[in-house]
Amino acid sequence: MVKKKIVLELKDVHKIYKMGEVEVKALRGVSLKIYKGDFASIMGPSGSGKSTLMHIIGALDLPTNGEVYIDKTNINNYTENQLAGIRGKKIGFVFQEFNLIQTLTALENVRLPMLFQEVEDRKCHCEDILKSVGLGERLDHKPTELSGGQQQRVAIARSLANNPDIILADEPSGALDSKSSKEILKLLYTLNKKGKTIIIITHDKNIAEKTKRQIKIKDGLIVEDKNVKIK
Amino acid sequence: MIGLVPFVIKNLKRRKLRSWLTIIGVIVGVLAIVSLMSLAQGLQDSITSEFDRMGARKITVASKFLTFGGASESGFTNEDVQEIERIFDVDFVVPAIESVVRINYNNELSFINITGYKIDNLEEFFEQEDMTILRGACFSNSRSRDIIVGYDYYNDYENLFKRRIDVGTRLRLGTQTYNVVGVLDDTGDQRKNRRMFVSIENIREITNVKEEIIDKIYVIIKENRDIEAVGERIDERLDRFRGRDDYDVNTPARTAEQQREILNIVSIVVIGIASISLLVGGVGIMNSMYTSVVERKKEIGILKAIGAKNTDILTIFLLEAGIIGLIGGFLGTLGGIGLAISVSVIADLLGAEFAYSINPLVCFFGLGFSFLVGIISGFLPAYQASKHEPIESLREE
Ligand SMILES: Nc1ncnc2c1ncn2[C@@H]1O[C@H](COP(=O)(O)OP(=O)(O)OP(=O)(O)O)[C@@H](O)[C@H]1O
Ligand SMILES: [Mg+2]
Repeated sequence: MVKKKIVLELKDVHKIYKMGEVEVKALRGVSLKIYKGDFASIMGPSGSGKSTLMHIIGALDLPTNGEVYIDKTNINNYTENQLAGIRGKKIGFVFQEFNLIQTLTALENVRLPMLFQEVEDRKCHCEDILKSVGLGERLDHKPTELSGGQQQRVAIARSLANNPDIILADEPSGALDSKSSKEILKLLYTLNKKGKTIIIITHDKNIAEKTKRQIKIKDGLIVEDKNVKIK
Repeated sequence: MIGLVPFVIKNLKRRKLRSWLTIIGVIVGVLAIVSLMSLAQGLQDSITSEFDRMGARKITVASKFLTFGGASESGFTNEDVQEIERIFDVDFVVPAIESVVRINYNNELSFINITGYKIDNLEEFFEQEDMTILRGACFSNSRSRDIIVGYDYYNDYENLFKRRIDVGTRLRLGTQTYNVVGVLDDTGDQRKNRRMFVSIENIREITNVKEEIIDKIYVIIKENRDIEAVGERIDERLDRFRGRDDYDVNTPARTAEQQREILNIVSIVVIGIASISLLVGGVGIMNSMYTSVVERKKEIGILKAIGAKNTDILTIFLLEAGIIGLIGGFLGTLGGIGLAISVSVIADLLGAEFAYSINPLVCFFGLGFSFLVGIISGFLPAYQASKHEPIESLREE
């Protein structure tokens, strides 16, 4: 078997939140390798540290202890601006509550991440991306004029704008009905088949079961990590 | 950074009216500065052109107080005039009375500005004043009821009367009928173009003033003399003769000096108002930017998650504040130009001269300065916004 490329690695990551006297140990030594082309879910009960883990994977936050490598580069000592650069170029975020900018149209939302990149990177075929997620007819609609499922597809399109390697989705269907939820999952699966590394964070077993790699987290520790064949 | 501009403009469009009210301070401040600078520039120009008129030979002696139709206590007497005439460097002297009278032309009633001159040497005086007779002739004697009208009564009469006034036209002033004997050519000075002129004896009759009081003494000096020195001499003589300092001797340099002094006082007041307004405007912008940063915390988090650097967030908010200032500056500049024009027009109606001159540099300065005020006011809120932690901001509802 060909050795797969590691796009992201966590080494013994701890995250401790200090709230005055109280310390909350959200992550207690997580080690994890994400390979190029992974279609992974991170599943666990509420409060188990899923969002915390996603923030660290997504370079939104740094761990209290342990190391984070993105593309074999340690980012522990990165400045805020360098981290922003990583988020802009290598990672696409999809949030539970979509997090679109309400005043911008679908197309403008998708273009937005490009504005923060250097000029030479501004080769976004944003319209094509929106078409590929099935919103070719909705380019100039504001988020309020779109259904939840459509908004989430705009958010996915936005996460693709800078052509990142990794898509991180935190409860992407948490705010959707089961039909839209299935569509979103299908969309992510299609993207994975086109080569994107996808990580879905969820507490929904039905969603986790549809991913190829299933990671379970409990009390800030990985308790299970298995690869399965999906139909 | 340029790419962020459309996004910034979208953000500005959704601002509430209340937040726009904060720019009133900037508008007022820039308005004050631009109008002041336009008027100052106009004054400078008119002073320069006054000096440029080669062989300026006219000195005006006028009361310090407002005189009207020769009825003032502080007017001049014939003895004053003779006193000035005795000065060696003086070529000749033209005493005058200025007034506003009611006129009836073809049953149209109106009020006009009128000057009555002593008619000796008047033709030479007109020459000095660039007042050329276009049609007809100058007064032939001081007793017949002859009148000369400004160019506008002949050429631009539509704004004044239904019908043109020309040589031979009859006008009723007070209870007498006057015959137009001359029309002046365009002097380039609207106040002269809209004036009428009679002899000093006749104006006393029109305004019903019996005493031989004089409003103004125009002194024409001989050629190639130092006009300022002659002015000094007149001042000394009159001082001794009249024994009171209730008049002004206006030479070109003294007039310029007086106008500058007035302008300096006005400048101090205006700059004071402008500074306070700009300060208020700046604080207003800062306030509304702080509100906006709080309201848009979540959005800042989203932008950071999709790759916005601290400097990008800073730029977005600074540009917003700068453009708010710029809009205030734009309105203020327009208002300032409008005010300068109004002041000039009103001064003109009151018979004073206050030219304005609109310098594009002043406009650019107004715009640039207001942009700067916006940016400075927006800096602290924008800096605060740029320092927001992405996760914490995202958690915001
Ligand atoms: N900023 C914070 N300050 C203090 N404690 C925090 C903070 N963020 C998370 N925690 C705590 O860390 C633990 C893990 O939180 P996290 O949000 O990662 O859980 P989660 O698995 O995403 O839960 P959920 O499924 O409810 O979203 C929880 O006990 C939570 O209270
Ligand atoms: Mg969570």
